[in-house]
Amino acid sequence: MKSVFNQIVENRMLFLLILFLILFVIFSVGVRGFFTFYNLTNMTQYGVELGLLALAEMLVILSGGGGIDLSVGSMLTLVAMVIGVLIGRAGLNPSLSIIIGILAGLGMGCVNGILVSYLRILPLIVTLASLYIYKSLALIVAVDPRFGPNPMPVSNFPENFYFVGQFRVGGIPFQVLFIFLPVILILYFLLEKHAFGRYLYGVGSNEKAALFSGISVTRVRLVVYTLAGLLSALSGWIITSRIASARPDIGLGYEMQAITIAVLGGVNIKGGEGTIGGVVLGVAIITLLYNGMQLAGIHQIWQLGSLGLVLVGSVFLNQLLLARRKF
Amino acid sequence: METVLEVRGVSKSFGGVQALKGVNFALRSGEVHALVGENGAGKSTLIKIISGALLPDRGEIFYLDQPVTIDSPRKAQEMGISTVYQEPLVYNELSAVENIFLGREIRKPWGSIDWKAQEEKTKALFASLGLPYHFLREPMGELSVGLQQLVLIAKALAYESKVIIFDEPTAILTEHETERLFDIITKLRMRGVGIIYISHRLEEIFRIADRVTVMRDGEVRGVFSIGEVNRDRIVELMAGRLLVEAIERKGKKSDAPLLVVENLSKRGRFSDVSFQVFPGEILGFFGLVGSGRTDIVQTIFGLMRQDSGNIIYQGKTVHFSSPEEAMQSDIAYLPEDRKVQGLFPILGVGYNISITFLKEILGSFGVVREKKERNRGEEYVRRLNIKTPNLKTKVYSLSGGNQQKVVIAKWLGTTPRVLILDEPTRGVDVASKSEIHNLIAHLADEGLGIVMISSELPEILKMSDRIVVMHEGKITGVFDRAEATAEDVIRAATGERLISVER
Repeated sequence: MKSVFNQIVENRMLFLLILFLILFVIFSVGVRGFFTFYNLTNMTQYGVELGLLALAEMLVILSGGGGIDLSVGSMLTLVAMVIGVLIGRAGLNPSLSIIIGILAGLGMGCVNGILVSYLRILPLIVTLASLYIYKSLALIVAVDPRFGPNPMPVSNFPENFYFVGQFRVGGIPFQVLFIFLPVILILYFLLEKHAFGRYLYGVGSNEKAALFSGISVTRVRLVVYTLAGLLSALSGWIITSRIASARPDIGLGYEMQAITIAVLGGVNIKGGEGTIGGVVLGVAIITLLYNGMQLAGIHQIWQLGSLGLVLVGSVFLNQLLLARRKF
Repeated sequence: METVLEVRGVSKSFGGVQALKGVNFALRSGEVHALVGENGAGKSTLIKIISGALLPDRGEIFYLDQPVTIDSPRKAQEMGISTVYQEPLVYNELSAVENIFLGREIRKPWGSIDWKAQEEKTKALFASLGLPYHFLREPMGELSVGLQQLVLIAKALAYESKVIIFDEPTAILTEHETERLFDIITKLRMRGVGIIYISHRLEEIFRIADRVTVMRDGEVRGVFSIGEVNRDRIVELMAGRLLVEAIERKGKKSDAPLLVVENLSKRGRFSDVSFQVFPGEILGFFGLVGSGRTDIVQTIFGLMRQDSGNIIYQGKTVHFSSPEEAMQSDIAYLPEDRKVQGLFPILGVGYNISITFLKEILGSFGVVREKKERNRGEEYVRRLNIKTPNLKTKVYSLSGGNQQKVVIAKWLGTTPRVLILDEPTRGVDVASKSEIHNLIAHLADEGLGIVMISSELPEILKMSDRIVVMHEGKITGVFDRAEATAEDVIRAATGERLISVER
């Protein structure tokens, strides 16, 4: 019994899993309409967009050196607008537009990465600046000269653009099955099985030792910021397709939620510690919470507050248990 | 002259190591008393006890003929014992005046700080030493190290100190600053302040000290008036009858050099350094911290770039711009600070060992072949006798000796031809130390070229086939093992130029 208790306290993954199960049981019993096939599959699609951003934050924070990316929301928005404008206003082929949009995300992440790793500017500063720059670019891109100087959303997409955000395969949302799960698997492979993961944890946990061991610290950091751009771009594409609209304010405030979920998932804000499983559980817990609250008739305005409460509550509980164990 | 501070029979040990054994030491007012000895002789421990940073296990301290217990640096300072460290401990953001009065500000009747009085008093202190004081309002961080030292001396005077300890004060000063410091020390002495002066530079001691105490192995080996002793006698006492048996070696050194360093210079770090490393030999590098030994090997390893000079490796001139490139050419460097530079403390033993040779154990798509990784890891754990529950154990939970073995394993894993070891046994227990020594000898026997930096003279004498000695960025001596004596090595390390073997 004692050892099980210790395991839960020491292993954040297990702790999160239990938290998830408790919430799941509470909502299943207490909230009408929660425990149905439709709801359980349907709610997963809402986790994808924020989940991709949380994974992006995980990578960047893991790389250490004050790693953080405040620009994920802005990158998402700009990618959404690029795709929207290319399809809806320029009439470009949707596939080509999506590829251009995703390349734009890669490029934006790469710029962040170069500024952080080669020019050695603090990640907080770099991504705070790019948060505003990319956001502003999204607004500029959204301007339709035919209707004056104001940014406008784009909503006239062809039917075949909606597959990623609205289609289902065997009842499961397309983006869960064909984007989110593959991304999780690929990242799991990269972090746990591939040499890149070894380098990333090394750079994040002790930059100096990494340098002295022949690891290229700059290259590793460049890669993670670029990957963050890619994941944000995927998220921007999916969200545009799901809501059938590209809006220049779409990613507002996502960066903070993404960071919160990464930290909830056990990523050490100082870098070098954290697992993909933990972050995925963090995403699951938050998705469950948002969905359960909505079904219970609690207004959306409570959502962000509950996120904050879960974060501080889970960290506090963990510390409390850890402290008790010492006696 | 009366005795201001006396230490009687003081002993101190750390773990199993006895750092001080019944030390007696007396300081008179108005004298400059030099304290000399090799690294590990016990000087720092003695100073820490006098300045309140450590408590002795046994023995007594008398200050102004009263027995005292000095249990904190603050208490020492309030009693009148001040220490000026090599790199001054100051608050960089605060001005000189604020640094001097921090924690004991002069206050006006209603409690606010009397800035004017503080500044006037500081000016008076500086003027009494014949020093300029135009910089008193500038933040300390913007002053040179020399000026920072002056501020700390002024602070010592503001506390009306009767004892001032200088711990290698000239190590990072310019010549001009050094002269000024000597002037001030002379003035302090005339005021009746007792000064303890630690330095590795024997010429300085003969210039300014009145008496000298020589320490070795935690004991006082001699106390002399400066007039009745000469340099050779001091060096002899510092070295002692150092009976170091050279380690047994089987292999034979080859004739073609593996690594040649020619006239290597880097401004402010080292200049005109030349030496060769042969396969199958251990080249010992001896010198004080700051003598440039670490800078040179880091330049070879691609962590720094020289201003001029060449590095020739296996007959070709090379420029490694990163450790990665140096490693590709089979050069390995075990850094001096294992916790900061050598290890990933929060990661596992297996991870730490394999990180340097990961490229060799990758399968398709860059996947780490975990079985191979585990086998290699277990092989090194066995070979180096690393005591760890398993490969997943986080490195920070191991003992210092086992941590060091992990760092060695990680570099052996790269199968180097040149292995550079920077303080390979620092902070390591006696048993592990001898295991590491045997391993190093064995590796040299197998034909590796080994460069071993150490601050410990016995280690250098035991292990090296040849010894290079550095002082202030220059090579001051090169000795063959057969002809090297402890005295010669110390002489060269303290600045005498003694190149007896040119190769």
